[in-house]
Amino acid sequence: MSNSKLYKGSLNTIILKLLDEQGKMYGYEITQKVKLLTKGELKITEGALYPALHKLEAEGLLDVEVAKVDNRLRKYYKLTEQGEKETVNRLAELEEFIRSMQNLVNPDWSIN
Amino acid sequence: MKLDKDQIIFIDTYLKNSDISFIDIRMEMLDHIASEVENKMKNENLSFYEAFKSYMVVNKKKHLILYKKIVRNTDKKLVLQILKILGKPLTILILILILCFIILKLASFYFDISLVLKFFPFICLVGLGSYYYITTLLLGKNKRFSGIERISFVLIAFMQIHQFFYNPFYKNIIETTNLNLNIMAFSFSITMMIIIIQIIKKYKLEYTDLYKNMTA
Repeated sequence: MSNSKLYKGSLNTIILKLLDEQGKMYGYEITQKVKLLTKGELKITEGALYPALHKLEAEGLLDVEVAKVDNRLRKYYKLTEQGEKETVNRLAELEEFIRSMQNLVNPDWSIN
Repeated sequence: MKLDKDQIIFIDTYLKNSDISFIDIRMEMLDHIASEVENKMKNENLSFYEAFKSYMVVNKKKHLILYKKIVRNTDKKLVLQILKILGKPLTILILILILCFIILKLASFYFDISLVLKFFPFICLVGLGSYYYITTLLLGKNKRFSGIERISFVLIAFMQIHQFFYNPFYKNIIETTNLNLNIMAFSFSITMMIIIIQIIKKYKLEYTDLYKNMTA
């Protein structure tokens, strides 16, 4: 992942947001989708992605199903009901964080 | 360009020979690697072997590190699961019931609990070993699942602590002759075994349901 320190804290939220939009996804698909959406700027490595997916699954935010696709088994991840609620909370937190960062980087010096 | 069955078996065998033993982890890695290889074959116009070799030369180490990381996370998850179950009211009730049973029934017949405690690890390892063997036989021969097999790590850690207090062959580091303490240790050990069996059963159900399509 490029600029890994900056993105690291947001990885779980990125995964939750993608699953919220796409319904169900598998590991490789998530890495490709992120790469596509960020025009190659953000590359999620498998070393970061799979432990994050397993952690979210253990927390009860993701559910898994296995299907046979193209001669192999594929593990799909999807949001649980709890995961859907958590996605809303985490996205709100992330938006708040982005706003605060924007205020810090580009402060408005005008006196109202 | 999709890989055929023989090419998938080739990758699976390669991963198995690289000590990626647990099938639940290997299956997900295999899908990731196969997708990367398919992508390489399409984008760089390579044959299967060229694409596979080119991908693994760069990424094999990363996958081995990832495997170890996932196994470590499984251990942590199992320890947390045991602690969570130990804190449940039902577990505490079972512990109290076992405790009462021993105090009321066995202790009244001058049953030597310290002797049972000394051989408890041996009895449990043989018992749980047989249970694990039967469980894996039912799941499929030679298929090792991380959640079921890594519980042995937790079990051995618990047995080591047990051996610290009760060792039948060496002089005890801590002499435990207190009957009440022995009864409590015995009850706790039995409760732990019940928890471990419950976790193995839970994972067996989970794996049977998830990997029912598994043929390779």
